[in-house]
Parts: sequence; structure tokens; C-alpha cells
Amino acid sequence: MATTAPPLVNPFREGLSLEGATQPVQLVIFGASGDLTQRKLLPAIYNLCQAKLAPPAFSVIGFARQPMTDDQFRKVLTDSVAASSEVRVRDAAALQQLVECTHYVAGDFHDDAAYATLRDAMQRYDRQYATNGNRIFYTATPASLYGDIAAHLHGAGLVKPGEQPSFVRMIVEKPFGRDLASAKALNSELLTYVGEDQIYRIDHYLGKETVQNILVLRFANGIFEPIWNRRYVDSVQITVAESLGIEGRGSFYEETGVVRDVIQNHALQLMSLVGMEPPVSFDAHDFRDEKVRVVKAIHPVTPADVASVAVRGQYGPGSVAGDRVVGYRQEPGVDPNSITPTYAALRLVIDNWRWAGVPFYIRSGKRMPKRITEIAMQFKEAPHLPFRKAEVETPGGNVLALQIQPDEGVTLHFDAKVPGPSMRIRAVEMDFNYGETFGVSDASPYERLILDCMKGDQTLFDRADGVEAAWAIVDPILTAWASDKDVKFPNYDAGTWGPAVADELLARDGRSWRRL
Amino acid sequence: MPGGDGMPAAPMKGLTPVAVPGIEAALAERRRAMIAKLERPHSRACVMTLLVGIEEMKDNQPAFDVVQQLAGKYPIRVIAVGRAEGADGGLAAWVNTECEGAESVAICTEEIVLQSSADAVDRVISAVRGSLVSELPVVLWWRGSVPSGNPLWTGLFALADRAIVDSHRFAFRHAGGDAKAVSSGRGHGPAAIKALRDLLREAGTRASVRDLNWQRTAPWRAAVATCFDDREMLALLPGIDRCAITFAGERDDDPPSARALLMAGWLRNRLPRLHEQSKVAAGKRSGGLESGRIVAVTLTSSTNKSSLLLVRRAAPIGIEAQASSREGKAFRRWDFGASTLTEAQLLDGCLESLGSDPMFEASLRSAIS
Repeated sequence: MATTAPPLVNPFREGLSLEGATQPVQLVIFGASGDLTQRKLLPAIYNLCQAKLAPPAFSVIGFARQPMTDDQFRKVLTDSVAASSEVRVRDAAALQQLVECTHYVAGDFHDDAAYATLRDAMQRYDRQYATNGNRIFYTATPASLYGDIAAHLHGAGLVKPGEQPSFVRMIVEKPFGRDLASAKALNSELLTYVGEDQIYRIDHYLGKETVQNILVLRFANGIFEPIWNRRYVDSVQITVAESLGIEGRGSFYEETGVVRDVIQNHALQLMSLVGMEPPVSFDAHDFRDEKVRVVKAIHPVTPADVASVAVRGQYGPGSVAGDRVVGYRQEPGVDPNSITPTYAALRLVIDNWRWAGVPFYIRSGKRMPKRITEIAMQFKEAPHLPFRKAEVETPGGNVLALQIQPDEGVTLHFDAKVPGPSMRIRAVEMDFNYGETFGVSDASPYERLILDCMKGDQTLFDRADGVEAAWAIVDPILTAWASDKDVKFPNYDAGTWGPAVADELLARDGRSWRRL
Repeated sequence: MPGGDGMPAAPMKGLTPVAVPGIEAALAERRRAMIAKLERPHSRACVMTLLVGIEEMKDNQPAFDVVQQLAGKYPIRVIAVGRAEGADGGLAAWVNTECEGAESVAICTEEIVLQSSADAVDRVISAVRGSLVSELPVVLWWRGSVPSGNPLWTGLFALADRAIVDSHRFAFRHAGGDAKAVSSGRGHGPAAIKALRDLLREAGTRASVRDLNWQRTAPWRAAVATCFDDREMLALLPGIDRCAITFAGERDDDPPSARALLMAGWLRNRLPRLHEQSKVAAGKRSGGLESGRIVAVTLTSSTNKSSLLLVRRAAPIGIEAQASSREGKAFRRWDFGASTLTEAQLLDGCLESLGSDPMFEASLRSAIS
């Protein structure tokens, strides 16, 4: 029997620093003329090139409907780099180098001929830049186009499952579907043309340093894991609050709402990182297995449960940070009778040994008093207080708050004795601030995630089963709310912490939202 | 302004002279003043103690300049230990706290500078020992020649978890020569390699050792790796069995530089068959190029005409590479931009990466001695 020689491996790569750690690759951006590309992707790509983290053999091809020449797209690139606050070092030589390997192909996303043109261009540039046939496709388009793009790429011979020895990867932006059924259909469609190990479903929240630090905090420190369970944790509160409104994206938000925009992805990602079991390793398979397992362990919300575990809200006119703002229904592009929720709060529980009986309260809203994302682990109170109660300022358990944004850090709330002859107890904070220890993270989440994709590391990307498990949690809520149109909106003023029903959700359990 | 005990003037701006027992109190006072200046709550953060061991008095200022370039980058305590003349066994200390960064985020560095005469090493080590931040890693940056045998090194290294040296600065007395006949490791690579191996042995499993000179080979290593990312080049790899490193020297018979030997060690470690046929030779210095620098790396085959040639380009600084096929026909060129890394950047690179560097250690083992 003939034996096949093992593929040659470049022995000089091992042990190099991140610089130069990626293989040659061609990056094709679908939706190249769009907002996401200009605001986030092009600056992130420039940063990677400037820091020499992108491979020297590299090229970028923009693809979109809008007719543009290479030079015009290069102008888009230079303008977006010039305008971006995420660009760290203004390096004319690095930008020029990127400009010279950037090209553009105009075409309709549904047109076979356009993909044939793209294929020819890709083959030409692959030879020119010696990118070894390695390709990454980034779909920065409306979600409704993802399946079509994959089908056309396959039709043009540009993707096929498990392609070797060159690699072909596809980065897919959120939202991944708009409900469970559409997510399943999209997964099924994509998996017809590419393998799961080629799909990189991006949720930029996972590219944030502080989100990754949740894992380090939990699994690299011996002191937290022993108390990270139902015996010591009373409840968990996850807050994703925005002070901004919908920023002119009325028609988008009308179709989306807070559950699809934040809860199904960002908030449940945070919940899974806090709730997951320790993975065997930080390898993509092990890590995502555990992350999906905990989402699947969330107690299913039945249509009958919805009213008792989920509340919704919509902001009316009010004031935020001293400025008067209009209500949601007065925003441009919004139906004056809209029932789209801009606020939601959920009470979820995880059905496993670690978390049985511990409520996870999640809230997210627009036009809150401030922008803040945090996870608060509320620990149980000491079983007995041997101090005279009158001298305790704020009785209550300890709280470990993990701040994700804007001030990234960890705060432990505990009680301390006020100096003096009498026994007075006051709550104090012990603060760890990321910025003051390590400086503010240089890399944007997009930069980190595009680099991970170049390296073939799927750890921080969503897997099909994870996406579907998350939709399965929120789907009954979306369905119930869509059918129950008899809701009195607006029910909270802009600049407040949400509707009264959200407070009642916790009050029923004898708890209250953290005052942030 | 003299420090204590009639010692020299403050070696860096912003330093306040203190008596050694008052170091902690003075730092706390500076911290309180800094917090007041920031006008907002500030938590003290610290990730390590960086000891700076300065062998020669003339190196005090350059070393302090590097320390000041790092201030504001890491929340660390820096303890710089330098030499001073004629102090009659005296020991002088200064402190400072530097906070830098955006308004919302400030990174604060605590600086302690100790200067002593040669006969006060025991006193200075005791002062350092009492000033370490509890339970945090201690990194020693040794700015000097071969450290082994130097009492200051011995005392500081005993306190450190990691030592950073620069084999490019290693100097050796010529056999039988007088004290002035000292040559640096630039032309005494084999002795520098041996000294590095001795340091690794001395460190054992207790501490790790890094070399700034190894860091300087990083652009060459990245360039070689990138060339072999190319599929056609990779296909030629099985036939590659010879390597040659050329370094900038005074004469053709100059002994190899430590940097060139480390580069050769890396190539031999990555491709063991190169052990048989690897060569390190001096090339003529040009354009004021510093002696010891790598100027070319060549990988060739003894069975066909395939080759990879990487050559240093002077202006703009970079590395140019060219690949040739089995028939000797050039088929690919690369152009790698590079920049000359400053001492602060090299040190920064060593501080950024944690723990030991297995590739450095393996390359050191494979280096020609």
C-alpha cells in the first residue's frame, strides 16, 4: 500500500512571538463599502499590519455592490484609518504598504458573474502576493445575505468543506439569525458549503480583554472557584446598560429590539462565561464544549413562564446626562405605536449541581443613566452577625463585581470596622482597575478576533450549537411578546434604570437591582 | 545636590534624597501627593519589582534614562543600584513616583535609586532586600559585562526570579593581557555563549535568564520563518542542509559575534541537519555599522542550487530576501521593514514576555561554541 508523506511544516515558526505568527492570507470583505467595514474592520486591519501581526504576504479585497475602483477603495481605507480613534500609531509607511495590497471588486451579491470576477481577481492577487491560496471571507453584510454569499462562493469554487492544504475561513457577523428557526436554517445552509471548523461566528464582546479575564479570574486563581457555586453565591446580576438611544438606526432597531441585539448574544455570552464548568483546556473544542453545555443547562423558558421570568420596557422622553432626549417612538424611522422593547430583564436559572436555585438576573436597556456592563456575584450573608445590628450601616453579603465597560476591573465589596472606640461596620470596596495595572488594552475586539481567525483559533468564536442553544432560551420570550401586543409603552423614562416591572421581578424574590 | 552621607547629586530628575530606613515612608508620602494631584480615587497597583544592576559608574545615566522611558508603562517598583566613587563605605538613596497616562487611567511607577561605593555591596543588597514588593516577581536587569563573579550580581541575582542580561556588552580580558586590553562580546562570541550557558546553569530551575542580544535576532528569525511560509520555498526545505551567517566585523578573521552564534544556534535547533555544515564568518563593516551585527543569512543545499539569501539593507533599514530554485533561478523576493530597537524597547520586550524562553535556551544549547 502506498504511503502518503506527511505534509511539510515550516519549522521556523515555532516559538516566534506574535509578530509574524500568521500564515500568508488573502482577506475578502463582503460589504466593503458599509459602515462596519469603515468604522471597525479597516482600522483593525491597519492596526494588525502596523504592528506586524498580519503576515507580510497579505492582501485585502473589498467586495460590494457600489462601483468603485481600487484607488477609490484605497481612499476609503486611508480615510477610515485617519478618522478612527482606534488607530494607535499613525505610520505612513505601514499604511502605504497596506494600501498597495488593497483591491476592490464591485458586484451584486446574488450575481454568479460577480463571483467569477471575484475568483479571477483572487487568483491573480494570490499569485501576486504569494498568499498560498489561503483565504478569509468576512461577511460584513446584512445577515440575510450570509447563506447566499456562501452558496455563490461555493458555486465559484472558492469554498468547500475542509479545504486543505490551503485554508479557507469565513467570518460571520452577528446577528446570526433572528430566531431559533432562522439560525438553524442558516447554520444548515452554511454547513452545506463549509465545515464548522471553517466558520468563525463573531461576537465582538468575546474579543474584549476583560471578558477573557473572567476566565483567568475564575480558573487561574485558587480562591474563587471553591466559592463559585450555590453554597456561597446568592444570585448573579448581569447588566448591559447603554446611555445612548438607537442613534438613527430606527428601522434596524424596529426589526431587532433589545433581546436580539444584546441578550441573545452578549448577555448570554457573559452568563455562560460566569456559569461554565472549568474546561479541560483553553483549546477551542474544550472551551466551547463547556460554554455550550452551560447554556443548554439553562432552565427552558416555556410560553407559560414568560410573564414570570421576563419583563420588557421601552423608553419615553426624558433626560440623560443632563440632556433632554426624545422617547423611542419619536426617534426617526420608528413606528409611533411601536412595541419594540428597548429594555428587557430576565430571571434565568441553571439546572445543574453548581447553580441549582441561584437566580441569574439579566438586564439590558437603551437610554439608561449611564453606560455600564458588569457582572455582579452576590454572595450569601454571613450566617450569624455577632454585632449589634444598629451599628451595621448596610447589612448584606459580599459582592464581587466584574466590570466589563467602561472602567474595566474587579471590585470586591466587604464590610470593615470604622476606626474608633465603638463597633461600627461600614461597606467598603477593594478595587482592581485594569487600566491602572496594565494600561488600557491597545487592541480593539475586532483586531483580536481577526488575528485569531488568521491563526485559525476558534476559541473566541461561537459554534453552531452554541448559537442555537442561546436562541432556544430567548425564542419563547420573543414569540410571547410578539403575540402579546397589549403592552403599555413607553413604561420608563429615558435616563432611568428601567420600568417598575423590572424592580418587581426581583422584589418577588426579596432582592433588588444593584444601584450602579 | 548631594544625597545622604556626602554622596553624589541626584542621578535623575525628580528624585528626592532619603535615608535608607525612610524609603517606604517617603514613597508612601509621594503616593499620597500623587493621588491628591490626580484628584480622583486611585488604587495602588504593582506587578513586579525591577532591579537594575549597573556595573560601571559611567553606565548610571544611560541605565537611568532607560528606566525613565519605562516609567508610566508598567506599575512597577524599580530599584536601580549604581556605583559611586569616594563614598567611604557610604550608601545614598533617592525615591520618586512617576504617574503617566490618560486622565482616567494613570500608571504609577515607584523608583528607588541606590548608589554605593564598591565596598558597600552588602549594605546595598540589604537595602534592596528590604525594599522588594512582597510576593511579586523580581526581575533583575543587569547592565554590565559578564556578571558571574561580580558580588553585586551575586547579591541581586539571589533575590531575582528572572535575570535579563545583554551578551552584546559582555567583555573579556585577553589572555595574559593587561586590564585595559578588554574586548567586548561583539568579537568574542564563543566566550559570551559560554558565559550565557554558565548563567543558565547558575539559574537552574530557580530563575530564568533572558538576553537582549537574542531579542535583536528576532527580525531575522521572523524573516526566515516568513520566507518558508511560501509553499514553493517550503518545498525546497528538505534539500537545505547548509547555513552561513555573516556579521559585521573589523577583519575577515574576527571571531564570531554572540549574536551571529545565537542566530546560527537557532537555525541549527530548528533544522538539526544544519549542525553538520554551518558557518559563521565576519564580513566587512560598512556605513558605520556596529560590529557584531548580523548582515546576511544564507541557507543552501549541497545537492542542488536552491538557496535562500537574506541580506541586511541599510537605508531604509530592513532585510531583503531572495529565494532560488533547484536550478539556481531566482523565483521570489521579499522585503521586510525593520527598525533598530532601542535598549528600552528590548528591555520592554523582555518584560512583556513572562517566564523563561525555551527557544532562546534551545538555541543557546545549539550555538557553536
